[in-house]
Amino acid sequence: MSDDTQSGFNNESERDERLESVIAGYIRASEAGNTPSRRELLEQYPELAVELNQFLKQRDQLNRMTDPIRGFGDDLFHAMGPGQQLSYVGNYELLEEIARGGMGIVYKARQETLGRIVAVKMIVAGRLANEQDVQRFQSEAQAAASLQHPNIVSIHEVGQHEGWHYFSMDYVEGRDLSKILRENLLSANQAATYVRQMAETIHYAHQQGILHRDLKPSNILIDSQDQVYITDFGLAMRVEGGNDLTRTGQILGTPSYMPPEQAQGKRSLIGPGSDVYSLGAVLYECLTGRAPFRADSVLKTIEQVIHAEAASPRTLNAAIPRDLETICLKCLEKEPQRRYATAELLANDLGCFLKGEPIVARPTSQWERGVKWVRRHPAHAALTLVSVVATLAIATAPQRHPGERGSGRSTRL
Amino acid sequence: MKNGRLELSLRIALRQWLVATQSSPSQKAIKQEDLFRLSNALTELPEAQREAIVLHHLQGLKLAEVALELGRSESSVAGLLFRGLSKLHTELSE
Repeated sequence: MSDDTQSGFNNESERDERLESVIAGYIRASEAGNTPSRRELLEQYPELAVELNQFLKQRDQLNRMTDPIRGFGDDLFHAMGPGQQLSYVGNYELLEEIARGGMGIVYKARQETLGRIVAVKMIVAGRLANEQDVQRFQSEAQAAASLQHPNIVSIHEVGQHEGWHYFSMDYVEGRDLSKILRENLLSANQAATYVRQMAETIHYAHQQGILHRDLKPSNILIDSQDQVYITDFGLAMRVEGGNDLTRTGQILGTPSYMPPEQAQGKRSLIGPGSDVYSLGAVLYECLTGRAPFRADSVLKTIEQVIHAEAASPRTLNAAIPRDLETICLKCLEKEPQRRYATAELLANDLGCFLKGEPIVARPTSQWERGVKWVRRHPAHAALTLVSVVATLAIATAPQRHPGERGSGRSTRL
Repeated sequence: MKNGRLELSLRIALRQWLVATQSSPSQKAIKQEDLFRLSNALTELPEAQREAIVLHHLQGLKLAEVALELGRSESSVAGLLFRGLSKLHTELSE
C-alpha cells in the first residue's frame, strides 16, 4: 500500500470520524429537546454540508414512516416471535401458532412426555426483552398458576428455552370471543349467559386477590359446550400490595376495554371495579358488535374512555332489552364506586335478567348523564388532557425522542 | 437465518400493529404498503446498520442506549445510522 493511499485513507477516515461525531452531537441535542436548525448545522460545518443535509433529510423521511410505530416500540418487539424455525421447546413440540398478544405468542403443542396437547405461550427474552418484560411474564405465570377454576385456563409449567421464556397451559378447543363477534352478534340471552360466567369466574379470581386487568374478547375462549374460559392474566396484579409493575405509570392493556382509572394511570382507583368495567365493555361488544370506545388512534381512544359517554347500546341495536342495557351501562360508569361493587353482584344481576326477575341496577336519566358530563368536562378538561398526554409521554418516554410526537398529538387534540 | 427471522417478525409485528391501530381502510393501505417496504428494505442492510436503525428509529432507543446495547461508541452508532439511512434510502427508492 503506497503512502498516498494510506494518507488518503486517513483523511477519509478522519472525515468520517468528524461526520460521525457531528451527527452524534446532533442526535444528542435533539434528544435533549434542543434540535439545532438545519441551517445552523450546515453553516457550522460547511465541509460536511452535503452529507449532513442528506442525513437530515433521510432521518426525517424515516421518522415520518416510523413515527406511528415508535410509540409502540415495546409492543412491536413483544410481538416478535420465535419464527418458524423453532419446532421444539423443552419437551413440547410446537404444532401451530394459535394466538398472539402484546406479551407473547401462543402455540398449540404436544407434550412429549405425557403425550397430551397443551398450549405453550412464549415471550421473547433475548436482548430485545428487558427485565420488566421477564418479570411481567413470570408474574403472569405465577398469578395464573395459583388460580384453579373450571373457567380459567390453568398453567402447568414455566420454563426457559434458548432465550425464550415460556409456560404451558391447558389447550382449549374453542374460539376466542373476538373471532366469534367478528361473525355474529350474540343474542341478549347468550351474551348475558357468557358474561355472567365470566363475572362469576372473575369474582373467584378477585377473592384470591388477583385482578385480571386485561379482560377483552380475545382473552375469552368459548368451547363447543358454550363453556367460557378466561385466559391471559398477563396484567394480573395482586389486589393488595405485592409486586408492583405499574409503578412506572405505563399504560398496560387495550384501551377499548380499559376503565378510565387505568387509562389515566390512577393506580389507587384500580380494583375489582376495574374488571367489572371491562366485563361491561365485553358485554357491550357482544350486544352491539363494537367496543364502547374505539377511535383512530390509541390516544384518541384513551381520550374517549376518559371523557366520552358510550353510546347507549339500544341506539345501536334496538333489539337489546332495556334491563340488559342498564346492567351494561352501570358497569361502564366512569367512577368505580358507581359500578357494581363486585363482579359477583354483576353476575347476580345478569342472573336476574336471565330469569326475568327485576334487576338491581337503575337506569341513569338523561339529566344525570348531562350532569355527569358537565361535572367531568369544563373544570377538568384541560387538566385531564394534560394528564393524558403526560401519561402517554411517561408510558413511552424511554422509547421516544422528546417532543417529537407528543407535541404533534397534543395540538391535534 | 437471523435475517429471515427479523423479516418475518417485523412483518408480523407491523401487520399486527396496523390491524390494532388503524381504522380507515385507505389510510391502512398506504401505511401498510410503506411499512412493508420498510421491513423488506431493512432486511437488505448489513446487520450492524439494521440493528442500529431498528433500535433507534423503530424501538425508539436514544443514541446512548443504542450504543450501550450494541457495545459501541455513540459516534460509531451515529456512523451506522448515517450509512444505514443512506442504504435504506436507496433500497426504498428502488
